[in-house]
Amino acid sequence: MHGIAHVSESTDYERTPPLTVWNTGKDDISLISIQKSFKEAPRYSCYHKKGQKKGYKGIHSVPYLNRSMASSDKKSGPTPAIGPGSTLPGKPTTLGSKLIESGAMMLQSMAPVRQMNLHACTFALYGHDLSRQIETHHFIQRINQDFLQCAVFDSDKPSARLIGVEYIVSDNIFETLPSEEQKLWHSHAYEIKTGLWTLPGMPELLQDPEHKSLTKTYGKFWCTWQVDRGDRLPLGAPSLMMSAQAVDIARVNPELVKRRDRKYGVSRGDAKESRVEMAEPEWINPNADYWKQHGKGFAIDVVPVEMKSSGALI
Amino acid sequence: MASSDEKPGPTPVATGDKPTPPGEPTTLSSKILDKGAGMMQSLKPVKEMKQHVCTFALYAHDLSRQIETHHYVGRLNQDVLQCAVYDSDKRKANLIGVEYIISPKLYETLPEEEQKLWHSHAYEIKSGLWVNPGVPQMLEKPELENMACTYGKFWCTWQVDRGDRLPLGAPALMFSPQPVNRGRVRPDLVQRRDEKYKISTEELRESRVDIQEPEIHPNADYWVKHNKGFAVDVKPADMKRLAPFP
Repeated sequence: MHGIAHVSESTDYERTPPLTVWNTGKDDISLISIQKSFKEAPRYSCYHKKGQKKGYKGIHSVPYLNRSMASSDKKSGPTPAIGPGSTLPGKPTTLGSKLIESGAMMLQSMAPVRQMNLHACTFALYGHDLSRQIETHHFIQRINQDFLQCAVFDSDKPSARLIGVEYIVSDNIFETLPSEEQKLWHSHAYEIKTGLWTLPGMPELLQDPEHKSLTKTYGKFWCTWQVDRGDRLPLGAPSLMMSAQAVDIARVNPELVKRRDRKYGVSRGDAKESRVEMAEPEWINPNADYWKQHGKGFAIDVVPVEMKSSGALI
Repeated sequence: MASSDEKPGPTPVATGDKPTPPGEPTTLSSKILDKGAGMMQSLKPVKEMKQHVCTFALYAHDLSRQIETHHYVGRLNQDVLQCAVYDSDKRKANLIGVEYIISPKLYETLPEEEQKLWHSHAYEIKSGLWVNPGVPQMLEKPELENMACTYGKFWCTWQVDRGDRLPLGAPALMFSPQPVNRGRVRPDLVQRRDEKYKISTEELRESRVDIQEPEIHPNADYWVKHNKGFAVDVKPADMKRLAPFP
C-alpha cells in the first residue's frame, strides 16, 4: 500500500483541518487518521508549528505535533528512554527510600491492592499489529461474579513493570455494552481452551472451575508501556490489546509459549487436552475481536485540543 | 470513541456515590478459589506496591472534571515508580488507571513530544493536596522532598466520575492540579477528602512550606502555557494480513 498524505495549507496552530496519513513502514501498515467528527462543538487539532514549510515532505518527515505519540508508532528515535536490553534507566533504590516504604507499609492499609490475589499468565497481541505478541502477567481481583479487574505486568518478579490494565466481564454484562464499545473488547474462549492462559502454581484440576467461568468472558486491555519494542520508559499513547484467536495471524508464536511453559514447568499441550471437554461458549458476539471480521485493528492517538477558559473542551 | 466524548450511550444507571459494576454477587466457590490461589501463588509484583497516596487529578481534555485518586505506588528504582490508581481506598475500589512517576533526570531524556504528556508534582505536594494517609508528617517529609521534583504520566482507563458503571471508551490523559485558576481543585472535593482522613490540607501546606520549589521543565503541564489539552482518540486501522510464522 502506498503512502499519501495531504497537509493543511495553514501554518498556524489553530484551525488546521484534519490530516490523514498512511504510514508505510517496511513491515506493517497502519492508518493514522486524525479525522475529527465529534458530536460536540468543533475542536481544532494542531499539526504544524508556525513557520514550517507547507506541503508534503514525505511520509517519515510529516511534521505534525503528535507524530510520535500514536500507539502504533515505531520506537520514537534514539534516546536514553529506549535502549538495548530495555533495562530500566535510573539508580538503584536507596536505603532511605526502602525504610520509608517499610514504615509506610506498617501504617497504611493497602486494601485495594491486597485484593489482587489471583495470578494468571497468558499472551496478548497488539490490536494494530497482531505480530507483536507479549507474555502477560495478570493480577486479578474479582469484584463480583460478572466483573474482574486486573493490573497487568510483564513478569511475575518483584522487578516486574506495570504495563497496563485489563477489565473482564461476563457475556451477560458484555451484551449490555453499546455496540461501539464492544468493538474494543476481545473474547477469551480460545486462549483458555488451548492452554495459553494458565494460573501458575496451581494444579490444572484446581484451575478448572475458574476457567469454566472465564471461557465465556470478554476483556478490554489497555497497554500503557510497550516494553516489547524496547521502551525503557512508558512512551506514547496506550495501545489496545487483543487476544489470541484460531486464525493464522493471531496464533501465538510457539517459541513464546515454549519459553513460558519451561519457566513454569507446564505444558500448553497438556492443558489444552485436559480442557477439551470444557464447554465452549455457544456464541461469541461478532463485535468482539473486531479485526477478525473487519480486517481493521485500532490505533490510539493523542491529539492536542483547544481549551475553554473555564477549562473544559470547546 | 474519544476519551473526551460524553458518556457513550445509555448504560445501566449508577446508584449511590461511586458507580459499582453491574453483576451478581461473588459466589462462594469463586471466593474459595481465590483464597486457594492466594495460598499457592506468589503475587510478587503487587506486593511491591507499598505506599498509598491520596491526591487529585484533572482530565487533560477538561480541567473542570476533577477526581480524588488513590495511588498504590511501587518503586522500581530510585528514579522510576509505577502506580495502580483506584477511586477509593476500600476493598472494592475500582481500578481506574495507571500512573508512572520519574525523576527530573529521566524526564530530561524523554523526546520532546513525549514530555508534553507528563505533569509536574511540585504544586500538588507543596499545597498539601497529596497525602500519604496514616503516615505521620515526619516520616513522609523526606519522601515528599524527592517526589516534589518528579513528573508523572497518568492514563485513566475508567471514567467513574461521569457515572460509568463499567470502563467505557478510550483512556483519558490526566493532569495534576496547578496554581492557576483552572488548575485548582474544587474546595468541596478537598474538604470531603480531609473529613474522611481527619486531616487539614491547609495545615499540610503550612508544614511543607520549606520543601524546595523545583524548577519545572517547560514541556510539562503543557496546558498551562499553551491553552491546549489532550484528547485520546481510537481509530480503526488497517492491519497486516500475513501470518508471521508457520
